[in-house]
Amino acid sequence: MLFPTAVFALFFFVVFFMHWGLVRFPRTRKWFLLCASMVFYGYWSWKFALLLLGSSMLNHAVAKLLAGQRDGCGRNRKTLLVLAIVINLGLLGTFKYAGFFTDGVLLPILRPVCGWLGESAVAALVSFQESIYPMLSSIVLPVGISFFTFQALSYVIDVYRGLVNPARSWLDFANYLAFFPQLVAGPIVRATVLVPQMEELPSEKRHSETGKAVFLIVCGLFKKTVLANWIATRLADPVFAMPETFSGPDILLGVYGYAVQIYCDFSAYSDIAIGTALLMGFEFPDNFNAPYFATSLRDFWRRWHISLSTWLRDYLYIPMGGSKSGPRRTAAALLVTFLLGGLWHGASWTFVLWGAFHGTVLIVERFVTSFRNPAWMEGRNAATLVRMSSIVLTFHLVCFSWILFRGGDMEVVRGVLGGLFAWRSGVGDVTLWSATSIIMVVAGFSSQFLDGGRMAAFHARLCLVPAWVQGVAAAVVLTLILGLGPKGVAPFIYFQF
Amino acid sequence: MKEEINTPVCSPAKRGKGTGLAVLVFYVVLLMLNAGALEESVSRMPFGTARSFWLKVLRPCAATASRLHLGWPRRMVETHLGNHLNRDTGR
Repeated sequence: MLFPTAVFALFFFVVFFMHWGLVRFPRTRKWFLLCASMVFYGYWSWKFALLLLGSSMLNHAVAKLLAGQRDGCGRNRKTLLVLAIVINLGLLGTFKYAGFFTDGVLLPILRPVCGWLGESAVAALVSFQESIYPMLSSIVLPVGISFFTFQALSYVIDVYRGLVNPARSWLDFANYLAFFPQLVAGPIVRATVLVPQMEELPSEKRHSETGKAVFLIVCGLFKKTVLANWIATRLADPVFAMPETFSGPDILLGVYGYAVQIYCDFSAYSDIAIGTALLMGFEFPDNFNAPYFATSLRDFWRRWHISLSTWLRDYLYIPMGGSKSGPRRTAAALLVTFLLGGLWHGASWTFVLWGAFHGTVLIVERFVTSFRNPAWMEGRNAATLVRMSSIVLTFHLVCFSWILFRGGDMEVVRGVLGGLFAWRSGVGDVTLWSATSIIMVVAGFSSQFLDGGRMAAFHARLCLVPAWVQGVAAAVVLTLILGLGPKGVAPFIYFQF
Repeated sequence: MKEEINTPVCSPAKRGKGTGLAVLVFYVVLLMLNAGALEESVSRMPFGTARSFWLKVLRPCAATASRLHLGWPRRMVETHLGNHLNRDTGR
């Protein structure tokens, strides 16, 4: 079920009123919430919904066992934790990485080895390929598996570390893992934040700000249905589909366009998820904070997909030594974290390269910033200039990395980079540069001003507007957005992860 | 960079009652403003129970909305901006 569709609107109408109508019956309300999340997820495939339920049962059972043995044998607890991690990652690996490891890693190694061993080995490899390919092509990636697997892992690890108690019941944990607003594309809400809210479902007295929620949802729908969709179909998709036919300036606009598109697309999903949850009384942390205003790549990762970057920091980077174990260990930890972060986004070498690029630039940044700034940079004007230059440089580094991210295969990446650096002319005299395309890219870029706490004062003022006025205003604005957007809805980019 | 917020915040009880009303009004107004477009999109669905059901629900809404000229804002935006934005460039 996609957010900007009539089906979801109908689904949410029923869920919203039933959720608040059942306030006096907390247990029934919890079951209803879980059923609603299952309907939302099962709309793609009921088999995926069963998989999600199975994952919640397993992880909750492990968490209970871990909590029960808190004073017992450390070895047993460690074994249980390793088992949970292996099963969770095994599930993710089977669905997401089986094809990549077979086709991109295993077979390229086996081919020369079998060739060297002789004809019988080659025949065995061919028969292996014939049997494995139909099996691999039958695997369908469950939507959002990367997100709920990471949530489940963080829960089990936090229980192991004693940072969080296991949920009071399986129902509370299942509601945490399967809660529909954040189920398929995040934010990756931690158990410490959401499990207590699921245990004590929000009563009417804790009802959160309607104005803020509606504002987030409407802004999210505008970013997705108007900006992201337009930029995707008019700029980014054509450039990345046939880079060789476009001129250097067109490719540059396509790359800027993709940077804006992915921000508008993903932050829109987060905004709608946060707003939808807020209408139901649940509070999620922010997932974006004007990432293209970052002054360094380190700063960028504090502002982009915050729930993933903090996850990677807490469960990968810090356990590997973090920044407190010497420069070499820190560099290794950064590189491994970002390589795995890249792989998390997709089973392809371009994602691995994307992660490697971010990891390497972060290492260089750490090295450069370890030197003291020269005296001329201390003045106010110079500091502003340095800050602006840092923002521009960081934005362009991120744009460069998006070419690897969006490319899909190295052929496309080479085509885009070749066109960009050779600054050649395109085929024919059609150009992507137009007043509309510039307005759309600038509007998407400027939508970052809505992120974080920048609109807090406005949200507080919205709360004072009568409820019916809020409802009418939101409906009118949404109608105008629907009129502006193209027919049909493209899926969110982060659904594939 | 954090801005001080001095705006008075309304009471939780008021907010609680307000949310349901805001959402209800939102849905009713949204339905009326888009009834024509929804009816058109449902009429393109394959023949069957779902199509017949939704047409039965939407036809009276679309008729009322048409009588009250409520489809005008969406039509105006579609004609003047949406169609211009989304027309095929042939590339």
